Amino acid sequence: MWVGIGVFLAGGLGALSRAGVDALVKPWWSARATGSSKAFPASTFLINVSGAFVLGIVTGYAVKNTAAGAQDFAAVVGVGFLGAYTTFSTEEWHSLGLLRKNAAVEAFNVLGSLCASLVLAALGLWLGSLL
Amino acid sequence: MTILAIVVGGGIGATLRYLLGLGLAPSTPPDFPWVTFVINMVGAFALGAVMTLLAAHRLPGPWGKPFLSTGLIGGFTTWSHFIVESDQLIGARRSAIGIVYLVVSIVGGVLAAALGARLAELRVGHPAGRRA
Repeated sequence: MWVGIGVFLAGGLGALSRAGVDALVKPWWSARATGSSKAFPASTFLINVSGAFVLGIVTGYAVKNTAAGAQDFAAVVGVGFLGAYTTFSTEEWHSLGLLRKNAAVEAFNVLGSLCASLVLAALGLWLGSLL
Repeated sequence: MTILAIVVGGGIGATLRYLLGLGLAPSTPPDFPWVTFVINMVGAFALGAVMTLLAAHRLPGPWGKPFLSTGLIGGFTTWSHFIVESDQLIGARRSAIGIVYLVVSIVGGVLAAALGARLAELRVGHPAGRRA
């Protein structure tokens, strides 16, 4: 019950943090990007890659530490905050728009997001297992 | 108002995802992560529909977009778990399942978003904007 309430609160905070990063990065990127790189969804990229890295750490820790406290921590921070902070749906929505308008940017977006996220999450899993 | 809509929507989305994970276990690596997969497909479909309704000015009030897209659907779907699960499958020497999970999620997610957008276009009667 308490874990569920924790997930709810952390999920709300995670979504709000995503909106905050988006509000900061979007104008920063559009002021600096030129040409077709303007179409690159830099804020979603940054949000998803950073969240995947931190979830790697949390998951690596929780896989090794099976105590109830560690599992509750992983549920609230991992499932709640980081799950809500990162977003799959917005990534796919950007991909759909880019496929229709700018296939080269979409190729960079999908491959870059996947590669950076997978490598950093793997590093995070290893770091978390050391904790 | 916007902040409250995002927090409540994100909280509901994350809690739904948490409860589905509890209720439908086991579906984590080394098995195919069905729960995250279905959550992400449903969310991509829903976001395609919501963004199309938004472009057609068919969302309710100023809270419609922050509550539904940034909060509820954004908080319900998850990129980080999708990635960590893929890494865990590959790490557990189930690379084939991991790669299938990656490809099917990415391709399926775009198709789901397109389907959601198309159905919403039919609902509002004309092709709406396709901007994110």
